Amino acid sequence: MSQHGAAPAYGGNIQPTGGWWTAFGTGGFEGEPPLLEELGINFSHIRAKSLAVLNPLRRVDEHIMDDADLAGPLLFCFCFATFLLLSGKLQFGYIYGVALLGSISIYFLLNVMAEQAIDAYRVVSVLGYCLLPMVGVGAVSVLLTLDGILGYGLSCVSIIWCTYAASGIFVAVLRMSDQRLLVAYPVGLLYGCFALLSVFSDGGASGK
Amino acid sequence: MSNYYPRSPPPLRHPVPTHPTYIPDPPSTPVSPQGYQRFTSSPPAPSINAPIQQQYPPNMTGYSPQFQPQPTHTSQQHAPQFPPQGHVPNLWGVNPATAQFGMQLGQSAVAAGQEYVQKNFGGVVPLSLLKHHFNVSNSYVIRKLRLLIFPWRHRPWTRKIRRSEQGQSEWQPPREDINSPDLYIPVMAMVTYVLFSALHAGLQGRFRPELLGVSASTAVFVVLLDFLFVKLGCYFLNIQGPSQVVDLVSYGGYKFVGVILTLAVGLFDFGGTANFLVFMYAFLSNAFFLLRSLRSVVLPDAINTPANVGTVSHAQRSRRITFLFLVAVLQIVYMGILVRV
Repeated sequence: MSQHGAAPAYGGNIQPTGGWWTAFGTGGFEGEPPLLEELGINFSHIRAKSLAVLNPLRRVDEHIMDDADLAGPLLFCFCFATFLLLSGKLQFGYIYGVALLGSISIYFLLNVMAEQAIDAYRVVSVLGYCLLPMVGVGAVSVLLTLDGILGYGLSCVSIIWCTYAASGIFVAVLRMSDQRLLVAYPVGLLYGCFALLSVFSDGGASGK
Repeated sequence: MSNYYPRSPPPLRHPVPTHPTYIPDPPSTPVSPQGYQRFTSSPPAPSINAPIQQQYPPNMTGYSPQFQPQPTHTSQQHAPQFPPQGHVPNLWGVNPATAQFGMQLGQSAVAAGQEYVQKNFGGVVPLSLLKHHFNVSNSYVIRKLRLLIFPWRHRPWTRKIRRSEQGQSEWQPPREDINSPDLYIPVMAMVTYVLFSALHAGLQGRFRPELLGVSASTAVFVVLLDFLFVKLGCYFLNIQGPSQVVDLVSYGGYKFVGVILTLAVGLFDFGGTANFLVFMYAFLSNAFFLLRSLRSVVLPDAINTPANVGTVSHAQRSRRITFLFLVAVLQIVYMGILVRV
């Protein structure tokens, strides 16, 4: 950290000289890290982790989610909601509610089912990263409506893909034995709710 | 973003912040030559009430912003570690020493509060008991579901005992014992029931989000009613046993499997008679399952009880058998409430 400033090398301080308003100026504080790094948002890391998570043919390493960052999941949720907005469904609140309620339920269930404990941030992080196929389906829904056979099929495939990835990570991280289907079922229900939000618009399901 | 990494990028799994985000204390500066005015203020001892408002800004002692590397999920467990010696920002004229003292007081108050809650309310939900009932495996769940749908041919209905290290006998976990009740199936079945009834309403074009709440409340109400009835009966008939509450809730939750089956068949329009037949079959299998399972709770065998519950007289025995039949028959009322979706 350089200690240069207005004063010569021996004096001065490492202290930001200036009031709080210098944070908004172009000079900024001395030695201040860049904003994205300060916030912990690391785009290349997010991309690398997403690609690693979503490849369905790889072996899941149990340390892959040791650094549970929430920036990626939040970004994915926001993109999902934006795509739905672009396709005519204003459902930010529903997505937030389903995500919150589902994450809390999965957190309780996993803590009770597994020998090891897991913390809530990691649960939310895993569930958020595995939402990426659903975001892809949401992007598709901007162009063509999902309320048809093709849409149903695409949604089912995305649910299965998301659930497969998430249950694999949970089973690997928590070292559960012979419980993958049991983890997959509630996670699948959660992603099914997301798929319902993306397929059916406000006002319920389509008629026959 | 190209100046993000001055060195090679960190490994994937354990990213290390590349900029040191903690600004360390400045080393003790030597006396400036030629006696020009130094801009650092009071020495690092916290007990000195330095006159704060004289010269602003030069009066801020070692301000170290607490930027912790971002995904520290451990930070939720520890209070933020303030470095010692009065490194408290000069906020709005509050003396740094006072502010630091206030913060330490707050931290100790929060810790004391948490400890109090832990001591007094930590035992409300018996976590170890819950964990025992969620200790299930794939094969257990599949076999148990098959048992719930077709219980007629199952042979031994008694639960297995395991002797723990302290010499007490306790039940085997559901992984090893198909007859042990678990909580995974009832909880999942209840959630599936709520979602299924919403789907049912949606397919008939009458979905409203309030329906989810209505179904959930109905489900909880029915389970509560069933549990209260059985517990009251056990109280009146003096039926004792270990871990009764959680077991009875599990047994009460198994009826949802039959209800979901009925609703699923009702989705295809086979007609009213077919629906009625499926419902009766679900009720009968659930009743039979409960009869056989609760028998080990209500009528203690001399051979296989974990606790000493004593023997029962003949009159008591017949009363208990009547109670058992009553419980099984009441299932049709509960399932009838649940099927009306």
